[in-house]
Amino acid sequence: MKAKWLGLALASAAVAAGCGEGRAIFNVDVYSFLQGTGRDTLRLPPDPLPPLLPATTVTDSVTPIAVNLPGAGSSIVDTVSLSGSLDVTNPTSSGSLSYQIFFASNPSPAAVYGGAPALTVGPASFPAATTTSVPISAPNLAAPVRDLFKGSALYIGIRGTISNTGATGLKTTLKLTRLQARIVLQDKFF
Amino acid sequence: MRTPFVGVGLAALIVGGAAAADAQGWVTDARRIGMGGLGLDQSSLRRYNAAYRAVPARSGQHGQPKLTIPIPLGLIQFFHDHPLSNISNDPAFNHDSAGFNPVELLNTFLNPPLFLEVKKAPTPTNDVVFGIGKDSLRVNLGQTAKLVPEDQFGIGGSSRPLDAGFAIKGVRIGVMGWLHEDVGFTVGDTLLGFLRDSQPARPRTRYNILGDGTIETGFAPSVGYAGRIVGDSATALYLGGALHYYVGLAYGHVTGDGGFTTGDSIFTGPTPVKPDARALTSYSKFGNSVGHGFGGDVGLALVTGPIELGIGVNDIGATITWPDTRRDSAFYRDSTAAHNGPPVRYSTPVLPNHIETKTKLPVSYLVNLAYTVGKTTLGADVLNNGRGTTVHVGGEQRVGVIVLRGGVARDQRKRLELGWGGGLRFGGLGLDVGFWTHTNSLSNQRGITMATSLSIY
Repeated sequence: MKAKWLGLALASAAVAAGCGEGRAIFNVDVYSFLQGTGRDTLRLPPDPLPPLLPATTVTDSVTPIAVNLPGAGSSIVDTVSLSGSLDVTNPTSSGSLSYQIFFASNPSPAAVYGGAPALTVGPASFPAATTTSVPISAPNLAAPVRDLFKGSALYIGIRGTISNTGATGLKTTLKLTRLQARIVLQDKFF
Repeated sequence: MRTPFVGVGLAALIVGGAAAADAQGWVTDARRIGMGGLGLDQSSLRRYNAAYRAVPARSGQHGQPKLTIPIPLGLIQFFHDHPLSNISNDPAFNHDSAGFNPVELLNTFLNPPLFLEVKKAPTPTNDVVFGIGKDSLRVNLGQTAKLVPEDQFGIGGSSRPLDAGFAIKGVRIGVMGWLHEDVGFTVGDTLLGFLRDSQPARPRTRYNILGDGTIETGFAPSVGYAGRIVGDSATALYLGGALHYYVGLAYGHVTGDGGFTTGDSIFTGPTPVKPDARALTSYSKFGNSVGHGFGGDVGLALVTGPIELGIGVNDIGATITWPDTRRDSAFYRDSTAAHNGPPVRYSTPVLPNHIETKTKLPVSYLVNLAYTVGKTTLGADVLNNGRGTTVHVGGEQRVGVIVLRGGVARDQRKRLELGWGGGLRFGGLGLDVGFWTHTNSLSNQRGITMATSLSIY
C-alpha cells in the first residue's frame, strides 16, 4: 500500500513530464526509516548482559526494517551508493568495530542476514571513554544488491560486532546518525 | 504495482501531452503544409466562408485540384518498423516488454505517422530527482517541470468530415457531416505544486486532475446561397450563407475528478494514500432518439484586382437539443470509509434521468487575405475552429512547372512554426512536398515533418 503512493507520485511526476532519456535519481533517507524505532541503535553487549571481557567479541543485529521504494520495474539500476555515519558512544574500554548492512527483498531475519552483507564498515578501532564517529561509505554496491532496489519494498538489517582490545570490560552503544542511499536508474520505468 | 504504475503513467502522459495534440490541426495537403498551414485556394476557404463557393479562381492560378491525395511515406516507414503481423508482440506497444517506451507511444499518438518525421522533437533528457524519507517525498523534474501545464489544456474543435451537394444558380442543397469534440484537463493546485514547483508532498492532502469532455456527431441537411452581389469580374463583393438543420446521432459528455488523498503521514500508517475517482456522464447513444437544431453560416468575400479579403463565420446559433439524455454517476474509492474493506465502486443513474439536454457547437471563423501579382500569391489568415486561434502567413511563387512555398504560423500554443516546400506541376498532375515545424510532441523543442501529396487538376 505504501508503495502505491510512491508509484502514483512517481508515475505522475516522471511520466507526466515526459521522462525522456534522463536518469531518475532517488535520494533515500534510509536513516529516517530507522529513526525512532530503536533500530538505529545497538547496545553491545545487549542489556542486561555484563560488559564484554577483554580479548572477547560480541555480535548483535537489529530486527529488519522496511524501506519504501518506488518500484523501478524493468529499469536498470546504474548505481546505488551509501553514505552515512555511525557513532560508537562512550565505550567503557577501547576496542574494534565491524559494522555490516544487509539488504533483502524478504522481511524474515533469516533471509536478510542469510546472505552476504551489502556493506561492511571496519574493522575500525575506537578509544575508551570517547564517542567516535565512523564513516559509512560505499560508492556503488554489487550488482545483485543493486537489483534489490528495483522492488517496491526493501528490508534492511544491521549487524554490529565489537571486540574488546582494552584491559577493562567494554560496554557501548552503536548509534547510526545518518544513512543516505543514492539510487541512479536508467530511465526505463516500465 | 506495475499495472497501476503503467496505467497512471500513461494517463498522465496523455494528459500532459494532450495540450500539444491540437496545436496545429490535421492537414494532409503538402501545399498547405509548405505554407505553414495557410489555405490559399478556394477549396480550403469554402470550409469556413460560404461566399467562396462563388468566388472564381485567381488569375495566375492554374486551376484548383479536383483531388489531393496524401502520399503516406510516414506510414510506410512506420509499418516497416512495426510489422502488422507482429503488432501484438511489438515492444513499442506491449507494456510488458523491456523495449516499451510510453513517451514514444504518446508521440506516435500525437504525431500520427502519416508523413515522415524528418526531425524528431527531442524529449527532455535532464535528470529527475526524487527525495524520499520515512515521511517525506519531493520531486524535482528540472527543466521538464515546465511541461506540466498550469492552465486548462486539451484537444477539441469542430469539423465537417462530409460536405456533399449540388448548386443551381448559386443556390446549393446538400448535406454535411459534423463532429464536435472537446476534451479538457486541469491539474489540481496541489498536484501542480508537487510536480511543477517541487513542493514536498503533504499529509491529509488531495492530489487530483479534473477532466471534462464532450463528443457529439451527426449530419445536417443544408440549403445555401453564394453569389456576387455587386461588382464585376475585376472588383466584386460576394455573399454566401447556409442554413443547416442539425441532426444529432450521438452525444456524450463526462465531467470527472480523479486523484488520491494522502493519509496522516506520507508513508507510515496502513493507508498512506487513498485513490478515488468520480464522474458524471450524460449521453445519448447511436440509435437512441436523435438530437436536432438549427444553425447557419455566413460569409463575405471582397475581390478587388489582385487583392482578396474574406470573412466567414460558421455554426452560428447551432444549438442541438437532445430530447432523451441518460445521466450516470460513477464513483470509485479503493476501500471502505474505515479503510479496512474492499474497494467501493458503483455506477448508477442520476435522477431525474432521460432528460432533455442542449449543446452548442462552437462558432468558428476565418478571416483571410490574399494578394496575387503575376505568378506570386501571398496570403494570411486568422482561424478559430472552436479551441484557440491560429494565425498563418505565407505565399507561393510559380516558376514554370515549379512552385516554391513558404509560410509562418502562430499555433494554438502561441508558438511560432515555419513551413516551406515546393511542387511540380505537369498538366493535370501535381506533386508537392512540404515541411513544417511542430511542437505537438512531449517536448518544448520543435520537430520537422515532411509531407508529400499528389494533386489531380
